[in-house]
Amino acid sequence: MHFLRYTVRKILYGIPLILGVTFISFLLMVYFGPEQTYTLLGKNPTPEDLENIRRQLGYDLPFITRYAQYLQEIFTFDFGYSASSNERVLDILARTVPVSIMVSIPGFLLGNGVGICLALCAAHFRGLWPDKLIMFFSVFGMSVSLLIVIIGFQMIFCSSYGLNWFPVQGWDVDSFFDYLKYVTVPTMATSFVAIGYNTRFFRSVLVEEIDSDHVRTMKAFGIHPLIIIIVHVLQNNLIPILTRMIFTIPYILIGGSILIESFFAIPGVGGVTYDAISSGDLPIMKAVISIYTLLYVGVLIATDLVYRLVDPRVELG
Amino acid sequence: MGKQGDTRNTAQTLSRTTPIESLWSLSLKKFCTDKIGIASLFVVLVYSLIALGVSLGLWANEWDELLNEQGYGPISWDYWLGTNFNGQDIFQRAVYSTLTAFKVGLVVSLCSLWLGVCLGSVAGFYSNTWLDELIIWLYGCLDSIPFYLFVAAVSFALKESDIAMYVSMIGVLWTSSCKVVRGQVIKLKSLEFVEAARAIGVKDHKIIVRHIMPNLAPLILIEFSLSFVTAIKTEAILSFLGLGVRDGISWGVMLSEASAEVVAGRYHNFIAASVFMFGLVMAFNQLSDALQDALDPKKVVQR
Amino acid sequence: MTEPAQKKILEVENLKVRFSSEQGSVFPVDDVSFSLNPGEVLGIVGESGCGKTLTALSCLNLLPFPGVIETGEVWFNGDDVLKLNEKKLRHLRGAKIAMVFQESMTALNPVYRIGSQLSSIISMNRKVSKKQAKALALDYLTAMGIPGAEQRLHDFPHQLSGGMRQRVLIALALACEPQILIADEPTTALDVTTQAFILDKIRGIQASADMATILVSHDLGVVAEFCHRVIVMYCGRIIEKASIQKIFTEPRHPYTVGLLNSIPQVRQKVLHRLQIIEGAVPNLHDLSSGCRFANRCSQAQDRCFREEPFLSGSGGHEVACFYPREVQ
Repeated sequence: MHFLRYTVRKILYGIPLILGVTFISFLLMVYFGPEQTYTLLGKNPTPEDLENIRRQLGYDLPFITRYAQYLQEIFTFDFGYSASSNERVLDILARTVPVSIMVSIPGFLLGNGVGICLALCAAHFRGLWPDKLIMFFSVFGMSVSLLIVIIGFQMIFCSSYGLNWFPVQGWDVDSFFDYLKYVTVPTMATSFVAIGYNTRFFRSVLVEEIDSDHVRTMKAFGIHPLIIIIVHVLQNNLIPILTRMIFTIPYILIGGSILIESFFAIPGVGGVTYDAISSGDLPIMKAVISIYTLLYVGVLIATDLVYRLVDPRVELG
Repeated sequence: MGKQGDTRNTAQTLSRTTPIESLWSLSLKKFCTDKIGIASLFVVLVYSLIALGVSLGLWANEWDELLNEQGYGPISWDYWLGTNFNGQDIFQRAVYSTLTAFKVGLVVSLCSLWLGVCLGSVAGFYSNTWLDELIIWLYGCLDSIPFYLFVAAVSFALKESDIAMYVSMIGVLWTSSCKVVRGQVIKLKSLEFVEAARAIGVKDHKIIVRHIMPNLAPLILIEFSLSFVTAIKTEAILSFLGLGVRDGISWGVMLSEASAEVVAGRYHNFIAASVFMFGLVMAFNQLSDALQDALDPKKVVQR
Repeated sequence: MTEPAQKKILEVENLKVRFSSEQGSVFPVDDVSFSLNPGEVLGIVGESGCGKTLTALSCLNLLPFPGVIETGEVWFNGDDVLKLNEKKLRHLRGAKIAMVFQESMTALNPVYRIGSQLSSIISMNRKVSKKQAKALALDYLTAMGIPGAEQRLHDFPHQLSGGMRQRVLIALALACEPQILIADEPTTALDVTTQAFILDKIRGIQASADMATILVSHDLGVVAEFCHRVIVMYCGRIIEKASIQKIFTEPRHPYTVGLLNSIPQVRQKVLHRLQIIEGAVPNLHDLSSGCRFANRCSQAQDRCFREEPFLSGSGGHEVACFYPREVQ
């Protein structure tokens, strides 16, 4: 009962956030955004034509009404039709989201898995050469722009001037083998950068825990280091680790994938978003922003709830 | 409760004999023993000299001129890194871009820091009031918008003007320093000297300026180096998306030119831009690490 | 050393601990040697920062980062603890030498119930099943005087009071039935009545199991009630070593004298002002060549600032001072 009330309250907290984001995106894209009056009318329109078309598009309505309409569009998932291809935005999303998920899953798993392993190794050998080496490469990974990594990897693995092992671009997946063929280089590129950031973050979390008194107690009572690490260090930090992992999901799906998918010509959300940005396709941008925000706020609430559920120290309030 | 028994006690013994004023000089001393920190500071200084020279017109003046009529050209005595498809000198363009990077980095990080520190200290000082809630809500909203789309939207709203990139980067990057500053201020606020100042009736804004701001300085220095790096890296990606530097040259613009060239085996552009950019970003990252180590008083005895 | 010819259970020889930092290395434990007889209770006394906790941790080879053992040997059962491999060290820790830490607040993992933590540690060290371990834990918790021990097992550490948590930790160490118990300030954070109660309980179990014990404390009063022999440490060095009677009746090092004078004594007929030792503990970074206590010592002479005195003495009473107080 307590938990239910807590859940409801958390969800209520999410509402101002969603309203805020929709308001900002409304202001930027609709209210101050480019008007389509002139593109629709062609050359030398008469003042009446102008008036007519503005009324049709709803530009003459008061601010509040227009915002309400915008909200209605978002909450009914009625994003209209793409300005460039005239396809229904929802259909485009339904087609592209699964592709994006397939492209980003291996990179997500690899980036976090390798990151945690390296961080454990670094934390275990703190101050010694394995730690220094790992941390050096972590900063190295953080310092290389994703753009450079993608271009570099494409040059090395996909071009006839390099190894030429993988196709330069495209997404023609019928079998698992095809999947591997197309997903390998994008995965390497994303994990290269992600491992740098993740290792650093996880190490800082783990070092603090390895220094803690209860880990020392376990050591003093001769508990095996593997048990200490898995049961006492990782478990205790499940929340920050999971939080970070979950929070990267919206970014991976829409942020990082813009570069990856446009470079490798993968028909995912990122690729579509890239096209929308470069051609000014507002309906698609609106849809992507709204879905990203819903995802993000959802994740925010979910992690909060999981936090309360998992950690016995936190009382439900 | 001491965390490490006698280690902590040793630290206490030490801090008992070191006055608080010497924190900065102590940090400086610590920084001077950090070889990587010194080296990265040196690299950053070299880059800033390059940028200064460009802005004074000492070198890389011909970055925009079509020098080689054949377009692409090999590495030669005249063109140290060859020429690009327009016949422009790649080396000069890479050097000139250093200025762009510093412009973007400085403008974005200084403005976003200023905004973040102001809002963060206000939110922290008035924590648990409606003002705090408002600021939290604001950065909560900005965090929930996908960044590149936000830039695109700002760019549309500003009719694709050149300052769109700056406005949107500042508009998003201030949130990180705001969060850090807010947390720190809440911590500082409960310290004795602030409570004492309050108790004798010192005005709020005076407390913020006199007592809290100086204690935030180390944090701000670190945040500055972090946001500088973020700004440079973000600029590259925005330029690739066509949302970045519009008239001018930057490593990001060079990289987006290069993205089409590398599969054809022309990688001078790519290597020039990425080496220049990597050098600066790496140096700044190492520098901010060294700063964090040097400015952390807890690390005085350990490590 | 002229101890009676008894087999020692633990011998620490020339222990030196180094902490490195950018300002150079410090040695918070410097050339410390002592031994422990079976069934004996040894007290290590000194101000905070004198290296007593690090000495205790060294006996388990459990120094905190970035401390390392520079030189020294810790002999237990014919092995040098400092040279044991990971696996042997694990078998030693807990089962042979168990430690009770000072920080009862944080010494247990906050996200697990007490019962599960205790039983997993005990079953590991006693090589018994989880169920038997739980029964053992219950026995020892009851022996430590924890009311409603059965229910406590289902609690999380943060739900217990400081005193309760400390008792749980002690019960845990005792339940492993070690040959040596090392207790680092086990009662410092507690109020006096609880302190006496807990010390009494430890003593009972220690005596009946004939368990050698090292008690680390800054409190001479506690040590007086509890220990057979005492080591006084100052700034990383042992400065006096003697039986409990000798320390209290005829202390020889000026620092020990000072420590004794700073204990408030209620039963004294004439109320003196409490004496304090002037000055502060020197910074480990800038130790001069002389006696480390010289700058605070009222008896210090020129020689004390030039040379460092070493432990010497007879009859089991050793002192590191050029001008020790004469024995009547």
